Amino acid sequence: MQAIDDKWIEPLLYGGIFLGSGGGGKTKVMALLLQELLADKGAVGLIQLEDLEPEGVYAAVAIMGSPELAEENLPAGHEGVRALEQLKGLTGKEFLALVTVEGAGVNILYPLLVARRTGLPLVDADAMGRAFPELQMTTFHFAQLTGTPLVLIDSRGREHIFSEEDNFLLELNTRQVVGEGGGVGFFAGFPTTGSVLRRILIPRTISFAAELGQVFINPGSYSHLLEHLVVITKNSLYGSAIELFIGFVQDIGKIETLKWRTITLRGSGPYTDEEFKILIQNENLIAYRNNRVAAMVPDLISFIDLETLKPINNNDVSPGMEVAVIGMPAPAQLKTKKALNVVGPQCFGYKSGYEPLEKLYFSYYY
Amino acid sequence: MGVGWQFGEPAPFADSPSWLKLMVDISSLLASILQQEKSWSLGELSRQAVELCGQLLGEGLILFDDRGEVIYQNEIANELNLYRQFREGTDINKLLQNRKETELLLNNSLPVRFRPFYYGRDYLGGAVFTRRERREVKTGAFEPREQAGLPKVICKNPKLVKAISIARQVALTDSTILLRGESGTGKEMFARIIHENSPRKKGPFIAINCAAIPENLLESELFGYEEGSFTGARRGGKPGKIELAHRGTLFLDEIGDMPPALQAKLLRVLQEKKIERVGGTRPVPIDVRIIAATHRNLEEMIATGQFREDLFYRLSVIPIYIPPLRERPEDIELLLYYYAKKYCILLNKEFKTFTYDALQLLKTYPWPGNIRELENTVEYIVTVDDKEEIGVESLPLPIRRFYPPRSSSERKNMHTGRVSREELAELLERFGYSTEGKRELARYLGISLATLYRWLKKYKL
Repeated sequence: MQAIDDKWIEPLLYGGIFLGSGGGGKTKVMALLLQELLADKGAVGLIQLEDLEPEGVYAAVAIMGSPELAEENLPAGHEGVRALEQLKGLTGKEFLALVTVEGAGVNILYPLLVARRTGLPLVDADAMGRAFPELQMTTFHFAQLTGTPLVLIDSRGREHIFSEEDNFLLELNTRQVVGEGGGVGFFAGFPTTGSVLRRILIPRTISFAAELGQVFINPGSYSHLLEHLVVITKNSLYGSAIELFIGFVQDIGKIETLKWRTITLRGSGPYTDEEFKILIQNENLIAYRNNRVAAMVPDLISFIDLETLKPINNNDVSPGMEVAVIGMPAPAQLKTKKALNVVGPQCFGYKSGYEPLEKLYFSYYY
Repeated sequence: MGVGWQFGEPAPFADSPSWLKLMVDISSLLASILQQEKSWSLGELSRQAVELCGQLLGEGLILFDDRGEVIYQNEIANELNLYRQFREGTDINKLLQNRKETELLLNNSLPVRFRPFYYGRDYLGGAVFTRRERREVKTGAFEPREQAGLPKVICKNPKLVKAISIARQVALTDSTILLRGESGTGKEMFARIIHENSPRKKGPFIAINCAAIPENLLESELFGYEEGSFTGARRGGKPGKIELAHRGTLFLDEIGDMPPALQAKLLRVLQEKKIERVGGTRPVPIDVRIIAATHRNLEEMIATGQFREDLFYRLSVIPIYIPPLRERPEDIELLLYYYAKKYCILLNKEFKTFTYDALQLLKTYPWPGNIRELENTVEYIVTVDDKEEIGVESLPLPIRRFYPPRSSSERKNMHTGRVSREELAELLERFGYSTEGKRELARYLGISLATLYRWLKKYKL
């Protein structure tokens, strides 16, 4: 079994931001806490799907709500431990390891924090492969598995138990409780056997996030960084990263009636005189280059700040900043017809069908 | 030499019968020459028309004469190694003797058709051509900026990563390289990496498969020919692949299959950096970097006199070994998804995933045909299977029937009939319920068909 020690945390932080596709939140403070904890108390085991006990039961832990609020009021992991204890009581099962639902942003670190507190190992896989805003946008849902029983602890410390059979309903009800309970919640749920997890989770995403994040530590130049990024990503279940655009942030806007935020870039370097627009709903969902679709969800659209050569969330983009926009294909598990019905562009109100990066840039990929 | 008589002058002995006879003979000779010239022109016209059609066809095409000798193959047939696939995948003699129109599937994935040609009841020869599905799919909205990092080369395997790193380093030099590895390991891809990372990248990259081209055509393909050097030679001659690769890279695939006479000729090219076309008298200087590749054991071939030792040392200045796919288990899942996405796009299908069980089987299967086999397998599955999830039942029979080697105690258990009901049911699922499947299963278990039926009855399967 591999072990996640304190040296993994900085790469996981950057990898998590990149996989957040503009959203997912970032939590530098939680990363520092984890680093200290792992250095002090020892590493957390990382289990591959192949090594799960087929009949053993595993549970997921995660943060729901505003990552910014989680940053202000730093969770210590005890909330997740409490939720997990409750879930154990409800199901009468001992959990053999913890599962990550959303392998990006703040939620790639939080299960690790809870794993360190409980002494349980973490499964090297997740159910989103990136950041998504809603609870039903998981491979559990694609496989028609419900997230319940689920125990949620709100930011005021109150416990809520959910047993909905429908994941859309679960999303609505948990979101309401989180909204009323201070904007952040911590849950334990999705109790599932090893044999099922093997079938549905996207494998090796935690170790991939760390490998990806490593590229951003001492990156050298941008071209060097991009070359490394291509080497790491093409040898993964995602697919090669591709530079979509480089430019200066010209405008950050909002289309109030349609829930969309926008970031407009004016091209620099090889893209001079070109325009790039990104449509956002929490995550970067659709990108246009000179009014033609350049990438769309579930493929990832991520920013790199060209001054620091680090990945950044869309909340950290400000006018005048020079950024590179990098696309990365989502794993095939998110691109099937069944998955696109839940995480495709039409689920966010976009009227046309999904156009995969591999098709838009076919000569680059094949 | 003059005949002593000029046109317009009165002919000597013009009224003699012998003069008249001479005139008749000369006239018939001229008529016959004109007829021949016309027929030659028509033959040449047909030949050039066939060549043009072959180029425009977009499918692989091989033409055979009535004795089954290859008389023409187009570039696509060459790229697809069609002749070799056809030779290995069919009973070629039987097919050519049957002389009937036939549909075939080579390597489980390449549909081809054989069509005979007749004049009345006389058999003239035949054509073999591919019938690949039309892949008219709108792709490539943008041409991305050239990016380093080789996005099309998928490998995590440390041995292969090292081989790629060596290839990129030696690309900068002009040394001759010998790529060694089993068929289908991607030797041509390696040669392309070397070319594209070399100072010759703006020059041509010319590839020729020495095993795919019939021996009688290989010399003229490689060295070109001068006009009139043999029957059917094109007017004005034709440059060979070596000449076409001038200031670029020549990739000689399956060099171990090169006939000995050509080995000597190639050696002279390497030594003198000049070539002479077939039927030519004047050597032409050339500037070519040669990358050769083979899956054969050249050392053994040298020992048995099938391969020239001096040529081996000339070619093997920098040898690079490419590991077979069975030594790269960490790459199999990545390659499966890489090609699954590719063919889903090309065939306009929805994206697919592999089930956990299918992946486990595909990871243990030894892939004797390496990446080529894996790519063909994925193309086959994507083409024929409409399910979103590729399970064990969707895999081609040879893979489904593959079972990892068992320990001696497990084999003993099987012989003594200690195979559980679940295990037998799973095996039956893999080998199929048909009589042929059961026969294969019995062979696999090392028991008779009758015993297998007894076990099936016992387990009520």
